[in-house]
Amino acid sequence: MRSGVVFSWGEVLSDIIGHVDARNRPIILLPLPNDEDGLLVTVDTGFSGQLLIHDADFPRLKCELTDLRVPVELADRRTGVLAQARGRITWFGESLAVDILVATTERSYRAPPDEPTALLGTGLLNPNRLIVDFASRRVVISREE
Amino acid sequence: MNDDLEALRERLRTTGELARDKGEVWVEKLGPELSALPKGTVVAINCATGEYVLGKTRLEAADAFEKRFGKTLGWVHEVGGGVFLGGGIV
Repeated sequence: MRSGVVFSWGEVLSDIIGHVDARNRPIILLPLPNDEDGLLVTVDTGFSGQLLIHDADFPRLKCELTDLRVPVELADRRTGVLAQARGRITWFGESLAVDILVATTERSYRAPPDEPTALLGTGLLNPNRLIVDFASRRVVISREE
Repeated sequence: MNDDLEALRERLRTTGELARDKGEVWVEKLGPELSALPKGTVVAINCATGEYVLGKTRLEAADAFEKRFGKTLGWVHEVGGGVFLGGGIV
């Protein structure tokens, strides 16, 4: 199933539609301003930020690195440090400035074209509604006004 | 791996370590002052001086930090807990 977007009426975008892939990951195609291809991302409700990318994919997103470094807590209670960047995405049809965290890990590699490039976290999902339907392999993010 | 990526990776790694070393010391020193702030406040600390700016979001804090301090290394502290990354990065 192809990820996409749905217009409910007029030009108001109410739903972002994605799919559950063969590895059972919820995936959406995130449109980017001035980029026809968009960005394939994994929806990760265990990540409380907005977007996370690896350094190998940093040039792909055309974002701007800041001089701030951000501590993160991992599931096993270890901590890590990520770099903070800022960029823009298209979110429910509108351009939105987002906080992007950049992970630096040795041996990480650039994501292949058909693989997700980033994690999309609850910092973007909140306050909207997320439905991941594994039975129908469908992902829907609905805008809550 | 190309040279640009290698340079970026090295820069992020070294600045990350430096920011953590300096930043955690400032957070410790500023402890009572910072913990009195509302939960969720984002504090961006100048690693060289310990001065800081506040924001409601990381983006807002980053903008305020650059406006006040220009290009200098900073450490983010979020009152009440910061970013959780359940899946982890190894």
